[in-house]
Amino acid sequence: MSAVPIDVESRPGARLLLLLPALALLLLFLVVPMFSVFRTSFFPGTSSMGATGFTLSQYARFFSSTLYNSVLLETVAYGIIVSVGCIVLGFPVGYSLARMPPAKRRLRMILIIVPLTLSLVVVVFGWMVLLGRQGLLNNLLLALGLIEAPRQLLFNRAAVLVVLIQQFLPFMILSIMNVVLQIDPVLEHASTSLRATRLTTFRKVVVPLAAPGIVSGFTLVFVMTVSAFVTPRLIGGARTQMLGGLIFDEVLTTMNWPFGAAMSFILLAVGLGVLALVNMLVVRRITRGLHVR
Amino acid sequence: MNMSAVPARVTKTNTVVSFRGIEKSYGAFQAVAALSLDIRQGELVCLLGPSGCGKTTTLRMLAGFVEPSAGEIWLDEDNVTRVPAYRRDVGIVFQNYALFPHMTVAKNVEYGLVNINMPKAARQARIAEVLRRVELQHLADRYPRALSGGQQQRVALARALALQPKVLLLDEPFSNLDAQLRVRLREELSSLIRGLDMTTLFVTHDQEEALTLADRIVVMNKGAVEQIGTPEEIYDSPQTRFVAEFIGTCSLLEGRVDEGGDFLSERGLRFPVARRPGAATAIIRPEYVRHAAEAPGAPVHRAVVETSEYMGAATRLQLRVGDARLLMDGRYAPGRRPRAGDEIDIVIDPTGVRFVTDGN
Repeated sequence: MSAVPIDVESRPGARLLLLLPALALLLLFLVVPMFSVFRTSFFPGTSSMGATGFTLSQYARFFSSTLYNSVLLETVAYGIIVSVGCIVLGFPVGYSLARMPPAKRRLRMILIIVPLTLSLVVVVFGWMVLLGRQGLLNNLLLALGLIEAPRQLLFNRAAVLVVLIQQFLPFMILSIMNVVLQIDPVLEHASTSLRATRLTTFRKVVVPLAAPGIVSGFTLVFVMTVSAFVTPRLIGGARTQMLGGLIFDEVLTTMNWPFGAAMSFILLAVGLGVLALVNMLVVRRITRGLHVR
Repeated sequence: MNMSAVPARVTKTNTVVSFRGIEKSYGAFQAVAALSLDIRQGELVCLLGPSGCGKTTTLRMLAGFVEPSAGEIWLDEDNVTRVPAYRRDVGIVFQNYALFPHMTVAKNVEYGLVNINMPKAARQARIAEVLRRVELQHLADRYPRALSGGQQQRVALARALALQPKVLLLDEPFSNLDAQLRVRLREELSSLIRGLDMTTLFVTHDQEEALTLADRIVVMNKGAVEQIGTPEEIYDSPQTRFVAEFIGTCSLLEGRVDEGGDFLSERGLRFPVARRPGAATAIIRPEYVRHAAEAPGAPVHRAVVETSEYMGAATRLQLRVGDARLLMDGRYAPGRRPRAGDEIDIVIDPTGVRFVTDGN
């Protein structure tokens, strides 16, 4: 093989050849199964075994149930709250990492990435130890005299949100760090010399220029949150339901594949809808409104 | 060089910027040492020196990005040493222009005006005015990436001037431009700044830029000021060896002036000078070394041409006179240029010989 880079612009054949292995894998193990699931969601009845026909009844069942509708809404709300929480907590970290000398940044990045290498189950059980009735936090609060009896800290929405934010924060930090690395620090000096306070510089220079990274971080975290089911199940208990958990039950416990498939596609469509909306809003701001006032 | 503007300016004496014993240290490293400098209204002062000499640190201290370790900075009547950068009446054009890539030219210019809460109608008028001054009104709605380097520089200038700062700072303003454009923009910028009577401090490592643009030059080396003076003073009467070598080209001869009024170099070159006897370092610019035939009467030295470097208008000869080495610039008709190995007779114009005091 020659050492000359392949000019993929002028050689579509070469481009296709480079893409082919990954494309084949995705086609075979993602696109084909998804079509199959999509088709399943239009089967009548409660089983896909030998099923035929075409009906929207699975979708109708979902949208006519207040339970499912509220779980869907709640799932989207979780996605938005966790993403926004990650932005708020992750921006300062990502920004300061990007403005650090590379040697200092390396060690800190390892610290941020390490939690991602732990199994999700280990992380969740860790949180259960921390938040349980006999857990560290309860003991600490008791010792400090802030509470008189152990509190139930698990199995509520707040606990689920905290644990989800903890899990997905690294993705947001890395995403924001990467975009801030592209922003010339001199721009912030220029802004300051043009009478801008730190807050103005942040609002009108840093955030707009970091918007692509914030949006991609939002996308990642949102998608991972709405499809989460281990965390809500173990930390949230029976009272906090997310759609991912319901799909899991429907497919693996009830074995109602057509309805599970329909729920999957509703989640997919709503998720894509939210992301499209966010992208549209931000892109519009960048192309039209990113101006002074 | 804009000579005509100088006398009028010199009569103005009100000081706009005053550095008073400014120092900046980073741990044990002293970036700027004991710098004192007053800049008058409308004056164009240049900080000149090699990289790491402290010139950019000095500029950044005036802008407010770096806090001095000692000393005071005054702007007009105010001590601004501890005033944050965003409240200083200082405009700055950065080396890479630092235009906001997500804003149009007009919005870049408007940015500072919004920050000082100028009403919209006044902003629009000001934007139109400064863009007209830099002749960019037709590009008001373009984004910076669609502009050439020279145009970007003018936007950066317009953006800084829109706030009508008390002093304008230029950080290596021409280093990102190609040679031809550099000369043209230098003239444009100079006439624009002088037309506005704008007090300006600029930083460069390019001596030609400093000599052509500045009213006064501050030559800096290793954090310390070597000499402050007009371009003529800096070039014609360098006070230190560093200034002599950094600005222009020269031959340095160590030696002493004897009782008879002759300078005698350590390497045996002797010529008459007007100076008290004693140890001295003589500086001779290449243009003051001439062919003997052009200046009859002066002592003639026989020189061997070591190298002959054609530079277009002039030819630079490196000569050996006995053991001493001298540079000489000569102008020759085509084909008459001396070659390496030729022997020529030269004289040293005594009016062109200078002495520096530091013998380091």
